Amino acid sequence: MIEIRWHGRGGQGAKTVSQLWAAALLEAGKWVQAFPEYGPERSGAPVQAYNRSDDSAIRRRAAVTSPDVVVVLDPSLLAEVDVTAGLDPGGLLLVNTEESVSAVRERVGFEGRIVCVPGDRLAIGAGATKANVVVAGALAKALGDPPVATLKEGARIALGGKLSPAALATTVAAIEAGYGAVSAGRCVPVSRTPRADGPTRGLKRYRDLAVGAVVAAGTAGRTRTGGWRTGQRPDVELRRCINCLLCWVYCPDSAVELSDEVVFVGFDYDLCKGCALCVEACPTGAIAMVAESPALRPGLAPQGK
Amino acid sequence: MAHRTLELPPAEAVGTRSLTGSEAVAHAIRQIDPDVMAVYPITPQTPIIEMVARFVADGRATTQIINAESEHSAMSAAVGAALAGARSMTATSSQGLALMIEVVYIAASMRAPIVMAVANRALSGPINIHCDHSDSMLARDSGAVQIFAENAQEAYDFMVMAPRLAEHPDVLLPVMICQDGFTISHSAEPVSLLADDAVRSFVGEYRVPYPLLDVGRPTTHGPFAMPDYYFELKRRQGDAMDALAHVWCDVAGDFAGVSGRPYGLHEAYRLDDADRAIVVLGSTAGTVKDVVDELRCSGERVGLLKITGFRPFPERSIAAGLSGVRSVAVLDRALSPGGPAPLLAMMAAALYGMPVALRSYVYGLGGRDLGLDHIRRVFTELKVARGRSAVRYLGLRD
Ligand code: SF4
Ligand code: SF4
Repeated sequence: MIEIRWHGRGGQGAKTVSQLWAAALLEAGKWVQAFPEYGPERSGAPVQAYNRSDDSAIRRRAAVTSPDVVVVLDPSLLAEVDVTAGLDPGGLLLVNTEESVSAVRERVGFEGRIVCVPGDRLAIGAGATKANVVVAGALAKALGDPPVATLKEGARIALGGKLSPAALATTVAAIEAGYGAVSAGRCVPVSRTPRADGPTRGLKRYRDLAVGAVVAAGTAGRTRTGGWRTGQRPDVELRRCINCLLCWVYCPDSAVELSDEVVFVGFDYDLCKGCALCVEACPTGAIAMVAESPALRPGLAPQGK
Repeated sequence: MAHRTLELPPAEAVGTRSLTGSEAVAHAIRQIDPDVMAVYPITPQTPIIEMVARFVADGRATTQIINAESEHSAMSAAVGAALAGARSMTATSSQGLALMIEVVYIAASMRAPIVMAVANRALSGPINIHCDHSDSMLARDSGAVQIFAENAQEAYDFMVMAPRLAEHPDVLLPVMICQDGFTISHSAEPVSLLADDAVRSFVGEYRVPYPLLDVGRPTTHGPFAMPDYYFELKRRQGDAMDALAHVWCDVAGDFAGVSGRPYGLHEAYRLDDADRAIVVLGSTAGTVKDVVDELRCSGERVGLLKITGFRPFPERSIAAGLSGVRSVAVLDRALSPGGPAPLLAMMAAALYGMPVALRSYVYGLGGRDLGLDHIRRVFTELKVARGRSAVRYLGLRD
């Protein structure tokens, strides 16, 4: 049995590509499972999807905790999520990134096989809007299975009803681009010994929880929701700011920065999730959403904040 | 929240008076003088809130009454008030509890110690205003404590005990004080009230561990819990319910000291040498006691086990109380279509492995009367009971 974990952000098509993958492997005569795992349901938030495939019927419904393969659809996740959790050194890590294998290896500390594919660039080249299918093409090549023709057939089955013929053709081209971008490999299912401390590492025992699930205030500042932004960030025209601090009141993620004198000074883009509530709250129209290049997003800057 | 001192008219005369269950509970609320009471009227609870409102209007209580637009809102307001740091109560029945139920679960999980005066009434449909326990059974798994009163005196006494049960730091759960609608809530009988001062000092100051209005120590209440924490939080809630058993001992012990009336989470009535017993909740226990006495006069070894604590269910002490009994009849005032009636299922679990014949009876739905003859018949049938048998319906035209 091969188990795959896909890491993406809401809106990047992790769930869709897992279903496409399942459809392709079913075509190839395998038994398949594809299932998503939802966290905060918002575009840009980290999400996972999973695949299982095998030669005989798959009956287990347990979570995938020690995958053979981990696929990362957004390089900023490397700084935000423990993407190699449970991944055996005999497994494969495939990352959509412009970075080199050694750079990724240094970031995640994974000893096993790493494959990098510049998925965003290839997607744009193929006329596609998402890198997910490019990465699927690269994965098929890196694993040696399924054949690219089968993967394209999977795309037709999974997406044919949803996409126009032109969009489907773009998807197929994107798959081919990914398939052509990496060198061929083979998948060897790894021995699966779930880590004893696996998914509960660092979590509190029930006896140690505060009464009524009460948590200390101010935790928004500890969660780096900046990675949730999907191409837009708030920008202020300070000349128009009257320091009413309504943006500070409404911001759900403590991303509005104030000086020691309680004067609005700007935004903390490591925390700002790009929800635009501050734009609505601002009575003077001082704040507007502006397009941002991915380079401004946290996690894409070299190591750390 | 500190109690405001008020120029109160002379305290009510202490002693025994003729009061309905609703009036008795309203007096308990006046004496406790909670900070907030959030309500929506519904028969047969309405006399409780009407009387409390009169006490407030007459300056004899300082409670802020919130007339919400529904029970869902009433319970929500009570949750907010309780967590903010105000002693909070509500009162409801039947459809009102059904509409509240979503928030009852939330109150329990947020550990909001809200005292809920419940006058039990059948759930619709068909629509009916009279007593059965289907409304309480709907709240069975909510995490709220449920205490059943046999008479108006118990309704009053349990209401006085309720804030201390709810607010104990090991508990911090909603506490429902249940009385049978109409049968108790609207029937006048002698009730002995404690002095106002005695009640105030018995219940003491309201304290919650993380009051929302403590701005020096801000907290987040009601966070989202994913699969990594939901289970632990629910398990923690279960501990709070389990803690109620020992908290009950302390509170009931202190209450007995003040009132002279001791209470357990169940009452064993003439069970010591009994070979047959009836198990029941609420006002019917009184009727059963009369039949037990009558049959005892003619030498029959019969007894009663009255359940006061329905949640938490005092499983072990119930099993111990029935250890010498040969056959047990469980009288349920609610149905669970397609499965065993609620109390029967719990008794079967409590008595598991004991050599006891168990009979299931359903009675009194929608206010159907249960006469002494029905109870005599149950004791007669228990003489020949073996193992488990199919459910029987008392007072039903079949
Ligand atoms: S867009 Fe504005 S309100 Fe939303 S997270 Fe960013 S700063 Fe806060
Ligand atoms: S809401 Fe607008 S005007 Fe008010 S502090 Fe924020 S940016 Fe300034």
